[in-house]
Amino acid sequence: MKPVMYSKETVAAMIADGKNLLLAGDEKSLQGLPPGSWIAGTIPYFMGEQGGVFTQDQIYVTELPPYVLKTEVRVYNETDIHQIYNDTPQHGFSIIIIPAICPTHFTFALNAPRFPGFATRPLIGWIAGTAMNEEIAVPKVFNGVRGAALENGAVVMHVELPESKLVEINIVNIFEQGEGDTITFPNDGFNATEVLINGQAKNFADYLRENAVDTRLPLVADLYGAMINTSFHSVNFAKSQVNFYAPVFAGFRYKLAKPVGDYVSHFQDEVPEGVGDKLVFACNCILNYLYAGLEGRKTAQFTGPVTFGEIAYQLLNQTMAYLTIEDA
Amino acid sequence: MIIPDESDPGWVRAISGQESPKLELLATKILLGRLTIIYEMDPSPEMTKKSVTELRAYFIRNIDVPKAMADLKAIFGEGVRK
Repeated sequence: MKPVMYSKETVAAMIADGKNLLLAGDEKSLQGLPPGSWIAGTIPYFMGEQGGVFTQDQIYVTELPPYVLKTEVRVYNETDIHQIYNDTPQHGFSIIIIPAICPTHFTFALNAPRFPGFATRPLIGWIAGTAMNEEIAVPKVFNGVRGAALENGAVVMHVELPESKLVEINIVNIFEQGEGDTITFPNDGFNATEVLINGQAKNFADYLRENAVDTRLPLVADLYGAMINTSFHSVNFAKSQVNFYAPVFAGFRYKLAKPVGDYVSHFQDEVPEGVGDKLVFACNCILNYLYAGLEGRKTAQFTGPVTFGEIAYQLLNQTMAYLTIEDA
Repeated sequence: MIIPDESDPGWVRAISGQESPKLELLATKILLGRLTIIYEMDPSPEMTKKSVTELRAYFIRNIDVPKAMADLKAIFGEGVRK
């Protein structure tokens, strides 16, 4: 497996060489990198070449392939992020990184499916975070062209490819809908109080308590076979409110996920054949890293940042998102 | 491949969820899945037209993507013209 974790000095040299880079690392390792064709987000957890790893010294590097025709780095915020899909090149893709818990994060998460051109061009990316025990640190993204760090905004690299290349974005999600109740929400949002359980109104916090639900398992919506997860953040019994890491959407029919055994063995079963040769970028969820104990364990041929949310057209949870490129 | 006109009833059949085509691309799955739910919640002519326009625009923008065209064929059947 090729190296993906590098020292700050080596990354600085790669930038100086004019490479197009997607970076992930702790804030201290990213600060002070020279200007160049790169974007970055903060995170100290990775799926490295040796398996899951926590490091605040090394930087995860995705070097874009040499056949890339053109890149453009742009910064969006909550007022113009709706342009993202229509700004993506006709032949190519875009990579987006957004800091967790900022206005752009919330705007994108809640509204992306309603943005013009949603899903018409490939958009992949992730939500930047911090070490779980660092309460003071604030997630950031970096516009490498200007060397600027942002606490609110989305840094995007639009990547143009030759017409002879085909891009595909896909996910590996080991979770599937369980056999239990169908849960629908009256409104889109990061939290919920009253829901419909099999069509009957019920407080969701009460439902979770009465049924002793394991909230490490996500809610799962089935969209034509694509299992879309929403993870539980917390349950506030005093307010009778359930909070999520990504929005639930009104009308979607969710079910609690089936329990899974060993994450890694399930993961291997879900990986389509032949992905490795075409793989350009992947990211996996911090909740998979924590709940499944991925530190020191490999997830097939996939490496990448471990993130506070994955973007495959829209925000996802507890999912690995990846991008492949192949000849048409 | 020729993308059917907006007037083709196959578009409304698709967003109304009457059929369950086997789709290949993640993008098609999440877009059609969302449009199907929108139709369930609001089947008004205005919203239906808006959804049909959105779905057709997706296939137009992906006319050179073989898996998108396979998804179009899965939705419309063999009737879709090359």
